[in-house]
Amino acid sequence: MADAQREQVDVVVVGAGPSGLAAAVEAAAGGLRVVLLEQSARVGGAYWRHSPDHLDDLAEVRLHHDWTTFRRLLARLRAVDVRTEHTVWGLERLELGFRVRALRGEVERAPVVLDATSVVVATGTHDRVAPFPGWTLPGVMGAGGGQALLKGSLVAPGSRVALAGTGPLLLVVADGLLRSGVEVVAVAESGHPTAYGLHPSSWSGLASRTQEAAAYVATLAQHRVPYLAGRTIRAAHGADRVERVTFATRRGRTREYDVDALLVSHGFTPQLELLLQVEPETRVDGDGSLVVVVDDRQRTSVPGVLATGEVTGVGGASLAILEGYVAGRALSDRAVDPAVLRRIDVHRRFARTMHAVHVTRDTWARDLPDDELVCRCEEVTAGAVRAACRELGVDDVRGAKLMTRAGMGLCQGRMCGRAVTDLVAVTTGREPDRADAVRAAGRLPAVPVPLSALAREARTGGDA
Amino acid sequence: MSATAYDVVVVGAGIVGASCAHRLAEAGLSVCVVDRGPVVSGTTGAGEGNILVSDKQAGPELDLALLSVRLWHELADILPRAVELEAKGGIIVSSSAAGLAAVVAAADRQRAHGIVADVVGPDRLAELEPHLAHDVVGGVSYPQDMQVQPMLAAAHLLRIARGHGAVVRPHTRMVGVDLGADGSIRAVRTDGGPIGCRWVVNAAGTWGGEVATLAGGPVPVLPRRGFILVTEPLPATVHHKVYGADYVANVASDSAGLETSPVIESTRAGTVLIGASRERVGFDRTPSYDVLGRLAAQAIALFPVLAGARVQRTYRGFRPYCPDHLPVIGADPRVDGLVHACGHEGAGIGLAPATAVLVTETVTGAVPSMPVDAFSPLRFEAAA
Ligand SMILES: Cc1cc2nc3c(=O)[nH]c(=O)nc-3n(C[C@H](O)[C@H](O)[C@H](O)COP(=O)(O)OP(=O)(O)OC[C@H]3O[C@@H](n4cnc5c(N)ncnc54)[C@H](O)[C@@H]3O)c2cc1C
Ligand SMILES: Cc1cc2nc3c(=O)[nH]c(=O)nc-3n(C[C@H](O)[C@H](O)[C@H](O)COP(=O)(O)OP(=O)(O)OC[C@H]3O[C@@H](n4cnc5c(N)ncnc54)[C@H](O)[C@@H]3O)c2cc1C
Repeated sequence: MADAQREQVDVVVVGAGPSGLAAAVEAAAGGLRVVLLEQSARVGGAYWRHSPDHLDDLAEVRLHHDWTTFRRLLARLRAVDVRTEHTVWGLERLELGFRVRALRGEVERAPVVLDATSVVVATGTHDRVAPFPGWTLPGVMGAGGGQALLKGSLVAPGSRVALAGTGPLLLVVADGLLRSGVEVVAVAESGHPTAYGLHPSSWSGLASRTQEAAAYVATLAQHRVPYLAGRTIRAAHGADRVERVTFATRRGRTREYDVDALLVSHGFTPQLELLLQVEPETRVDGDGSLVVVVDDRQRTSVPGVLATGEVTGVGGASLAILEGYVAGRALSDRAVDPAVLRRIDVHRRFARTMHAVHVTRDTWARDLPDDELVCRCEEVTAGAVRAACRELGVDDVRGAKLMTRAGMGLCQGRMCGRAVTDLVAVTTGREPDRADAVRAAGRLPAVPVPLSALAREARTGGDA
Repeated sequence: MSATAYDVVVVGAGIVGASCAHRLAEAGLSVCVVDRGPVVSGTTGAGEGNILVSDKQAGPELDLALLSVRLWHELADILPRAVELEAKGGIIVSSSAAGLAAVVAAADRQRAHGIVADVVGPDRLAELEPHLAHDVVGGVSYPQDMQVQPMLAAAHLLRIARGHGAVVRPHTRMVGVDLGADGSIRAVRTDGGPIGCRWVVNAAGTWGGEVATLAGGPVPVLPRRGFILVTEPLPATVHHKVYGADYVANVASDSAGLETSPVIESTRAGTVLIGASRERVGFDRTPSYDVLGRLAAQAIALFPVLAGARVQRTYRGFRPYCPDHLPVIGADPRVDGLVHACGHEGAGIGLAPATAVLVTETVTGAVPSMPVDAFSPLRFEAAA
């Protein structure tokens, strides 16, 4: 390779969310030379999405949880070489250690290459949205995205907002909107959160989380916002943007609400594309997501590659931070507080219950009209995917992609991959297996790379 | 023994198996296609869709290619537009006078064997491909070269075969054969139970050697790895299929080492496909950044405007090759009922239709459309 200068460090951490931050500061505290690469302009990840304009701390406290934890991590971050606006696209195993390839800057996209003895992958998740009629209307957005808008630029997604889908995120986001003075008309939760009561042991060690949930529900009640359990989003209606939404009970009773925005979340899909480049052991988690297998020191089956946070299973910010701490300690050969390991177990148990309570039933895949899109980038309809299954013998997500182009657009299936998988499964009756998921999620490059940047990887020049 | 017996079980649902199933079913035979994975999950889903005569020299493979091109034109009548079958034409270009001389000399030889090959100077080249690098001194245009979306072509051929009564069983792995008292094939054994049949067609591509051994008629098929880059959709940039002059030399080469040469074309969706590399590293799936880098560098050398285009994904596949770089096609005299149709290396998409016709003629006992001796499964034994 020609000129891109290559640096050698002890640890590269990819992703500066709660878990990546914790891993980086803990490894650096152990005396290691750590570089933290983050694609966005700011550290904090999905959890601490602070505003670019230096808000005074008071405003931040209102919008963020655990702000003190964040401040503490930031203070310790001085020992870490933090590089924001660095998007990692390639993770390569070398004879000894790893080579990490990134692009610097949104505009210049200059190639950056780092060699590291160990790598921590903490790339978090994408929002998961199960399609429904009208889901592509302007004004309908992922709940995470809506919250990011509010936190990042202090722009409310609308003035009369409904939320739908499943999971604790709906409550968190509704709470954030209400605190910012936005009217929330209703929250449709397709699960039955009362079922948490059926698993008391799962949250017994997590007083904070139950208190948090109770506080959210109380805020909703105080603002007279109906929290509708067992209700799913049937459709969003509107000419140029969403004007009305229909929620339905399992029995089919419907109710409509006038809105100017609808925030939807059906959970999260961990971003495994980088990890899969080195082919670690994976498993399918309780929420149906493909996640990477780690041991009690956050080590994957590939020696030298650790994984922390949501890529090991969706379980919330506290768990992510603890996992990061463990990874950083393990990398610097320091003892891990056994109490932390016990906490992690408690959180994971809770996560299992959470996955069991907040299920997205696959009825959407039967009910979605043929002319509704499933892949926005390539504008592939549900009907096209169903036709590929019926006429062309497609029975897995890769086949659907090759035959219909679903997932071949700019997002490369990050957004629609799970929906297409579910649609194919419901249409054909064939349960997707782990191999399907690995094939669908694995990709090189992890993000699009200019040909000129790739050309620098040639050990000898082209001979054309 | 299973209740249903078929005339033919085709092992492999790639482009070759799909083409065979289509021809056999159309000829009135009862056909069952098995694949250990989903349909089109082998090399057919990992390659480009070139249907080329330009890269072939006089000999049996060229005859097979010419027959195939004719058959692809016929298939255009029954395949939907969606398969993107297009007689787009290929152009071999060179940046050096010596390279160009070699290409022109090769074209002279090819012309005697039915290939249309027109020498084009720099001015005409600039009209045909306005974005070509200025240092390209000339080339040869091959209007017979075609392109197809191979996955869709295979899937539609299977659909049409089903219309003729064929049955397709994905997720069914062939694990052996059952022979009758007279030594002829009675059934294919699979992990889903036996499937009665009179004939077995080995269309297992790169795994054709394995299937041949399971069937009792071994043939040597080995993997030759290749990578492809796919860009984001671009405004029309590359209009034909454009290859560098050393592509033809690499295709024919017997080297085990890495060879890369530019093969560039755009698809209907606007993406540009950039190939091609060849190396013999077994079934090693590890990505090679060196190879990806070379492909990128070569593409930029031919089309400098591509430098800023973003690569969205890369493919890796394993071409099925035999030691003499010819496919294995036809009945295996060692096992009554076994017919091979594998080992097409980097040309299986292009050569599938002619292969299917020859296989069907073998099964029905018709006179072959062309001599098949060069493709005999026994030729390796003779050499040994
Ligand atoms: C709106 C919202 C509210 C939430 N509220 C709560 C809550 O109240 N309580 C709770 O427990 N959990 C909450 N969560 C979940 C919580 O945010 C996550 O559990 C937590 O952020 C996971 O941390 P992580 O480090 O695994 O990943 P993330 O926080 O997702 O961080 C991943 C980071 O990696 C970066 N990255 C990804 N790919 C690359 C790449 N290729 N190159 C470079 N960088 C890359 C991303 O930009 C991101 O900064 C909420 C989530 C959302 C979206
Ligand atoms: C990078 C690259 C670029 C290429 N470009 C071109 C090109 O432009 N033009 C061209 O003509 N060719 C090209 N090729 C070559 C072409 O892809 C192959 O020659 C062709 O796909 C072979 O088709 P097939 O049907 O024989 O094999 P496959 O598509 O591999 O099908 C074989 C099937 O057999 C199945 N199978 C294997 N074992 C068993 C078993 N025991 N039981 C049941 N099923 C089994 C497999 O699952 C597989 O689906 C390229 C190849 C590569 C790698």
